[in-house]
Amino acid sequence: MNERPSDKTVIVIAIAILAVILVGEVVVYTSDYTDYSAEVTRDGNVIEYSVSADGSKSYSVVISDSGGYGKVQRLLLYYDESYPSDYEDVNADVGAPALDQSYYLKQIKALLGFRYVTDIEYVNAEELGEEMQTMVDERKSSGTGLICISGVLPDTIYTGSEGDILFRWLDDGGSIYWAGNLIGCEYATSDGSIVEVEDYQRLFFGSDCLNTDPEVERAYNEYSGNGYREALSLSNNNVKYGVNPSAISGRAVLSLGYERDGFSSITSVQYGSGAIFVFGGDYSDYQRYDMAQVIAAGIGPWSELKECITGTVTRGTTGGTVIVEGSDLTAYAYLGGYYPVYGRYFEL
Amino acid sequence: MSSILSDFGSRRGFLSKPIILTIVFGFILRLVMGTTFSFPDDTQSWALTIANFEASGSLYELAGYYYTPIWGYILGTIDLLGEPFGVDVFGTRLIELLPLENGDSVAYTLVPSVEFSLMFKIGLFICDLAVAYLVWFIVMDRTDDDRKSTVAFILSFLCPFVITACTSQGMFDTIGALLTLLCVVLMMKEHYVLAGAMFACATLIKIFPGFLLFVLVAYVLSRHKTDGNGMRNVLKAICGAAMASLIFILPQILEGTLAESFSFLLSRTETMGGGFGELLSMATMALYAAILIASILIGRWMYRSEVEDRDGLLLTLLMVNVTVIFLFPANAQYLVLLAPFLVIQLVTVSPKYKVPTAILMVSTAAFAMSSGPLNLVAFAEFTGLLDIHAVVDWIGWYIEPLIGPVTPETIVTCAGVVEYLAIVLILKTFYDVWKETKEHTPTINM
Repeated sequence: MNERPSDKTVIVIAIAILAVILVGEVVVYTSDYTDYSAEVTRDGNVIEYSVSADGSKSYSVVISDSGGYGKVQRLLLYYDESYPSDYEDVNADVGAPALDQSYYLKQIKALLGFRYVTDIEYVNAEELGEEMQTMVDERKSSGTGLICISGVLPDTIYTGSEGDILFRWLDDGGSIYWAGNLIGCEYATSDGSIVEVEDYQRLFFGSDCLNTDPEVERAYNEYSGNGYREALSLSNNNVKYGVNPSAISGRAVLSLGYERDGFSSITSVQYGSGAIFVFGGDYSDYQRYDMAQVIAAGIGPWSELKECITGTVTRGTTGGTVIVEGSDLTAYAYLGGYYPVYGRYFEL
Repeated sequence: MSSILSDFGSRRGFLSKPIILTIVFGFILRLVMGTTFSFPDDTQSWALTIANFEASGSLYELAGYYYTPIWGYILGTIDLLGEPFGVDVFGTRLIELLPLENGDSVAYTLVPSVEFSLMFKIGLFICDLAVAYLVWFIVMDRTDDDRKSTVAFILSFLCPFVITACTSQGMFDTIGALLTLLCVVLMMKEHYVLAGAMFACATLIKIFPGFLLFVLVAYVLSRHKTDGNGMRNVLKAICGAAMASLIFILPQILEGTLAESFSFLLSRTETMGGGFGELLSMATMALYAAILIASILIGRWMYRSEVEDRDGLLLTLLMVNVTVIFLFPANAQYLVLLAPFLVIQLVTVSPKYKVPTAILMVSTAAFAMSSGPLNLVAFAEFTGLLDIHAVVDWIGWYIEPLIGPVTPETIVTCAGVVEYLAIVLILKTFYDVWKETKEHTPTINM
């Protein structure tokens, strides 16, 4: 006869697994982006950077010449349930909440939070019109961004006319971040109707440059000409509603991300002192990640990638120096690559 | 402590030569398969989950994790233990795979790194070992037979679909199986508080063990019919379950994300859009209701049976109940919960389970690998030992129609049909064995 196995072993296994779960619970709820830090400074042409992490993380320090484009310091999220919206429903993952406008905005706010973009407020159509008017009157539009993903602009800022407050605000230095439909193709009124606009592309870009063919959707190549796709770990490869940068003349244009038939998944186009950012495709997680990354990195139509330093930091601080020439240098340091956990922008 | 050591250390105890060889072989096999094969979708979800809580200090603030919190917590511990090993790159977007993205047939192009995959898979390998140990424990405890318990261990640890679940699929069902087995053994040994805690964790990590509630409660009540302690012991288990649940879902209660933590479970029964979608939703609800009723009836069977070997009856009915649960749905990784109970029946009750067990093991493993060459992209990208362009070509061939609309992927996916037939055959075998033993529920064949 063998000795029967003792149930103490089983008890030990049970307690061990409870401990594993409990330790994990503590780890999950005591971790956040403050476990990481970065610092980038400039002395003449010498850029010095340092990155710190509690654990082990890949990092990237993206140094650009902004060409004078000022990163947005304050963000307005347009959301008004009393106004109609016009965007395509998309399938969500099993278990995921419906990827509607409200959830998208909530998520983009959270994604920007750990990238130190925290001055964010929701505005409805009326508040948006008033805000823009005040900024234009006070000539303080620069440094303010508007995220609009409703698919249709409200009539409080846009009615398909060159004199609309939206264009005066952009001209004054405002930046609009757009996704979910063809920008400006229609506007919404307070009575719930949607009005189509003729020749809307020329109003925004001075030429017809948008992808109006719903069949031209997935891009299979990265946008060549600058290294931002890889430098910023951009993921969205959808060019539906996207901009063809080569069709625009007389304005600063920066395309980054992916390209198909000349259309880009992300394009930033100059409008006066301001910028129009178009993110291609219907709502998606990838599109949202890219939007957060582009906003936080302070990229604009005049941006030029100067240097991208990558490496690994493991439980401590690492850093170095690099020589970069340029007048309006900025840096964006982020950790985690395609799974970012921290991001911070520096004016140098 | 001495008794624990005796389990592992005695000459005729757990650590016999065949078992040591099985452990070594099983681990090497898992390491090789876990390195070579990775289904990107689920694995990249775990990478995203870790990144999300590292950024936000929450499982649910950032989109990406839709399960109940237990698995998220375990990822937290794995992340903590993995950090000293310098796992810094979780994955990359693979441009080479983009051309394979096509409408609904999406190739998974955000590919997790091999080192990240291994980081959490090694945790799953350890769980597989613990499950196999518990199978050995149960068989040894019931039969006192070295040979039988060793065979049970080998069958459990080297079960093909248990291996594919924790390697190529990167799914955590082995933890659900471990928690369920712990609950069962602790109940049989009358540690009801801890058993209740295990049951709560098992149900919170995967819903399926929840269906076993009726048979487990019936077991406790019927076992203590004579001494009148049944209800008292059930209350002890409820206390354990309540304490564990409260501790583990407290953060979600405090931050107001409790609904999000159950979203994956609830979404399974949500009404889908369109006529066919509604029909499908109704059918899903009806099937879950049928499984629930069957589980209640199995509990009733447990309670009413007057057998001496109540533990044996419990193990048999658990196998039946788990098999019934997987009549719908029967995803390959789910069956990891069935494997230990089936092996126990095969080794201790009737060799008639050999055929369905063999068919189930092979077909389910094949079904689990039905993503074909897509499982190789992470290995190719991060080790350079395979040409990524060649792997992309293989994927292209794999999803292209071969004859009419039939692709090689379709053919391999047919293993799922064989798997389902094996599940039905298990129930048929149980019925045959039951009839053979003159309708006394078979429990043990010494």
